[in-house]
Amino acid sequence: MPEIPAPTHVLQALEWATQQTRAYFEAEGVPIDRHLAPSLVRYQAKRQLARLGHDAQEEEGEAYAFQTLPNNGLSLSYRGDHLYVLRILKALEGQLPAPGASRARQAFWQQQLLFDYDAPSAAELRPSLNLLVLWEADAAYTLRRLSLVCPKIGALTRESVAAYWMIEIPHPNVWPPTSAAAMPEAPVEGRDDLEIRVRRDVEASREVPV
Amino acid sequence: MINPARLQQARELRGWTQTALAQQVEVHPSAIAQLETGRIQPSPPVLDAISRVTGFPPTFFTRPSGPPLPLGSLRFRARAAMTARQRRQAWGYAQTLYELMASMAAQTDYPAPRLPRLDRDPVAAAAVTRQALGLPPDRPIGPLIRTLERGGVWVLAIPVPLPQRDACSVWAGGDSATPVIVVAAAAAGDRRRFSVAHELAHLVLHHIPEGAPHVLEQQADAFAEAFLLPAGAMREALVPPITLTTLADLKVHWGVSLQALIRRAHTLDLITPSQYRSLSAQLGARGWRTREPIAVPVERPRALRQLAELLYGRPIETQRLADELSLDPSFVQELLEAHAVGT
Repeated sequence: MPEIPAPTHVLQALEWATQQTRAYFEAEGVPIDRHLAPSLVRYQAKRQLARLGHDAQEEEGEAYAFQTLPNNGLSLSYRGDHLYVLRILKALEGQLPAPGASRARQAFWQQQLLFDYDAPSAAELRPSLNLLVLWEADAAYTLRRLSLVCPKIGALTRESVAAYWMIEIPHPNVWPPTSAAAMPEAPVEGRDDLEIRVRRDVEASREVPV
Repeated sequence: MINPARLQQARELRGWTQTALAQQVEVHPSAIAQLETGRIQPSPPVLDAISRVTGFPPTFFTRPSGPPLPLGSLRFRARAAMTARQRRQAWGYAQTLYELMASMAAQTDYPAPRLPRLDRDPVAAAAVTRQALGLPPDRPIGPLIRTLERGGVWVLAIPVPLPQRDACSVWAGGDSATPVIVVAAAAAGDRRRFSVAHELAHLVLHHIPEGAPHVLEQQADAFAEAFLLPAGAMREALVPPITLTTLADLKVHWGVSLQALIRRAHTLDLITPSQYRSLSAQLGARGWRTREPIAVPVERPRALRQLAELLYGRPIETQRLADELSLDPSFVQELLEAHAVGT
């Protein structure tokens, strides 16, 4: 498993982008167009990622040609101990979509991992690792889930697609998880106590005569 | 002679019907009804049996009634939200705590309330109330319950649930001069804070409740939002992009729920109606409407326990306190445990 920072900004950008996309169709008074909507999400997410200081780029050569397809993605790179390339795209019914006819996309999907990926000796042999961030939204364009996928292979059909692994990216609001039973309690400092004294007459009546 | 009201109080605190008590005491249900109306007096064996099954000492049943605690804002709550028995049990705890608090506060120079009673729009009233409580106009409120206790509000924690809002409130005591807020068994911290602010609104705005209950509740919600999340500060804090992720930091800072922040952004026109629907849908999709992530610490009231420590030592001599009120020590312990221990 690669050690890359949790893509919090990607989630934040997609939360914003789906919200804006939904707002666009509501303002137009038309139903959400399932071809246009992913492109709007991509556009808004790209703007937001740029605001957050990330280098988000449309996939050159494909953005225009596949504008009406739902799987046009954004790409981000992260250079940690290695170069990680993340493409962000809409999931197909919760699963990794096929790359289609694009050779560049097929090449991105197709990668061979060394057996012991994390071994130090393997580091020099890995030029980069391709990862996919899949986002899922419901029919009303409410963002439901983000997944991180390490693709293995893919061609034209869904059946041709395989991944090494696929994990759900936890929402930062629930990560790290806390016990459901653990309800933190606000501490009470002694100095916060009220300034109360026992009334003198009560004090006197409590004193036991010797 | 027993005090019929004390018998009813003990039964309701246990959450029992007259029939249930009669079965345990092994008398006819009509006997309990007659005891509670004062038509008959119990024989010593029956009183012993009542004492044994309810857990209240026999002397409790001969004590005069405590100071009355009117129903207050509990009257506004939808009756469907809880059964009459649950309601009476909750109020039984509140009455007992109120009696305990009144008895102890009377022996001290407990601070007089400095809560305003206002008759104006909820938003303006929230600002005035902040000022009266010595709070800055545009900063997050730290320990809310502590702030109210310093302002002379009696905040009492009952160990059972209340309907809908987890709290209720009333002006009680002579001349209705004592503001009381009753909080139910611990909900999430953010939810408790909003409920307490909502009840504060009823105290400030609805000392003489006039109008339909749903209107009073809407006014109380508007007050609570403005009190906890002042408009000026929100206009600075709630800037695009407003997402569930960005709201998380604000939740921690202001101690309110994500839902309250989204509602506030909507009320102040800082998000469009479409964004409001979208954010609400996102909350629903993740199951966060009923249980939100990012825990806000739960604040328990402290004053009642502080009074007990002042008068009955630290650790509190529960037996002595219980004896003075003719209560069972374990019951007194249960009441005290809902209140915070000082450091």
